[in-house]
Amino acid sequence: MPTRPELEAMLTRLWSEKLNITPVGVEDNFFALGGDSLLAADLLMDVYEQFGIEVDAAVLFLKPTIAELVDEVLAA
Amino acid sequence: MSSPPGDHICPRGGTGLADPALYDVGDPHAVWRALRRRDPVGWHPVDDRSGFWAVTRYADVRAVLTDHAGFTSTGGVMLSMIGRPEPARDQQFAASDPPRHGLIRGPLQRQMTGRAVARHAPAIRSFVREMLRPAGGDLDFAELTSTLPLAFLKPLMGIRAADWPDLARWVSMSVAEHDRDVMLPDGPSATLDRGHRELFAYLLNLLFEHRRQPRGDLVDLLGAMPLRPGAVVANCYSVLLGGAAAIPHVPRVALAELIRLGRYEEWARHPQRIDRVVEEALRFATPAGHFMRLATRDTSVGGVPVAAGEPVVVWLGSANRDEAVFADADTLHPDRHPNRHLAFGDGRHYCLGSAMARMTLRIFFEELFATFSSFEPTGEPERVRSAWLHGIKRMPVVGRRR
Ligand code: HEM
Repeated sequence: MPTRPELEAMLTRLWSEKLNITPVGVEDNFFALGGDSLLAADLLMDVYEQFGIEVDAAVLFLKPTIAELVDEVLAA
Repeated sequence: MSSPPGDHICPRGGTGLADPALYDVGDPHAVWRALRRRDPVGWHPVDDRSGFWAVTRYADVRAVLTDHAGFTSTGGVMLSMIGRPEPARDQQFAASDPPRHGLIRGPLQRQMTGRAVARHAPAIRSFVREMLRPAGGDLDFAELTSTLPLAFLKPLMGIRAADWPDLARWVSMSVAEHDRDVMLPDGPSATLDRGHRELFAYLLNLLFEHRRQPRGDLVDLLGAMPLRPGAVVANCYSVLLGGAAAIPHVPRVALAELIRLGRYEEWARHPQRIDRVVEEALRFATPAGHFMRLATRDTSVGGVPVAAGEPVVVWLGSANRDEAVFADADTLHPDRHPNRHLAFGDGRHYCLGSAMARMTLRIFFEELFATFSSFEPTGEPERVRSAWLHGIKRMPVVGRRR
């Protein structure tokens, strides 16, 4: 299982790729950065494919920061 | 708007057809009637920056809905999308034009024909009987009918009954964001965003579940298409929203009118033309009230010039009361025939769920007529505050069982 800093780095890279922007901070809001619901769904599917973890989709859709997402992945 | 037809029948401070209050406290039919007569293709400002062409006559509405080259669905199809980007354009079939539209819709369509949906009839009938079984005496007919979409959303998408209260609220937030029952303190726009995201999150989880355990339903079918995950979910969203939002309003609006006219018993006694009853209820209620398109080029509608890029909104509820097509259009006639209403739209986007909706409504009316001998109102029906969803959200009645 990756550590929190590793997860944060991986997710930051994933978000940058999806949103096509840098830098991305761990407290930034996915939708405020220009993300939309379709991209959010893509991103969670990527997390599933890379980490084998099904994150409860409500986390990204309703609390859309990397910090929250990392909490969720670590809890899973 | 060139002239202000029917200003007196719009609620005070209203902004015309886009004003959601017109549909709960105003008289949209009076406004539409005036527009059909005097300004059938008129410009309606929404704010300083935006507006739309309102198309209210049957013939013009059909012309727009069947001209896919001249009017695109890719800019969103509801007024609430004016001025917002449509992230699902070209990825969700409802927000795509032919030929792309057909690539996604085609496989779904084969599961939604009259013949294909008929296999669900027995399950739908037992669901409806169960719905009506405990009802009698004082009841809210809106509450009684609120679970009707589950009758087919269960077999089509694997949606669980336990999830329905949440789903129904999120659907309302997504189509009736101004309604006091669901509006969040942060306002209509925040309500729309929240409802939409809740539904997306729910549907993504549903997709994960289907991957673990396929059910051979529409979610699996979409999941197997060459689409990115976001697009799969966006298409599930169309089916869920289309399926969940409109249908309960058809029996509500029809029954409210029958009660008002004192004609329920007469209708219930002659259920042999049930198909005509269903079509007339659909025409009269027209719960999906408008759809939007964007002009792809400089063109015209009903002789009125429309510039490329401008939003064109067709008002189905108005088209379905057009006296040029329907004699005595404001009257509910159980035996109306022919009845080529536009409640399901027209052209390539013609409602995917129309066969399922028709069958479910037929079963519902059959069971309702067989179960209840009469209804009496115990209060005024309360309508939904929405420029898109036209219907009733509370309807206190006393129902007498046979
Ligand atoms: C009485 C109930 C219903 C009414 C009045 C209704 C109305 C409509 C209308 C007017 C359209 C055309 C939209 C456009 O032109 O952009 C439409 C499309 C659609 N409806 Fe329905 N609908 C109903 C029930 C259902 C049901 C039960 C389902 C699914 C199970 C459904 C799913 C859809 C979908 C997916 C579309 C998009 C079709 C496309 O863009 O090709 N609807 N509906």
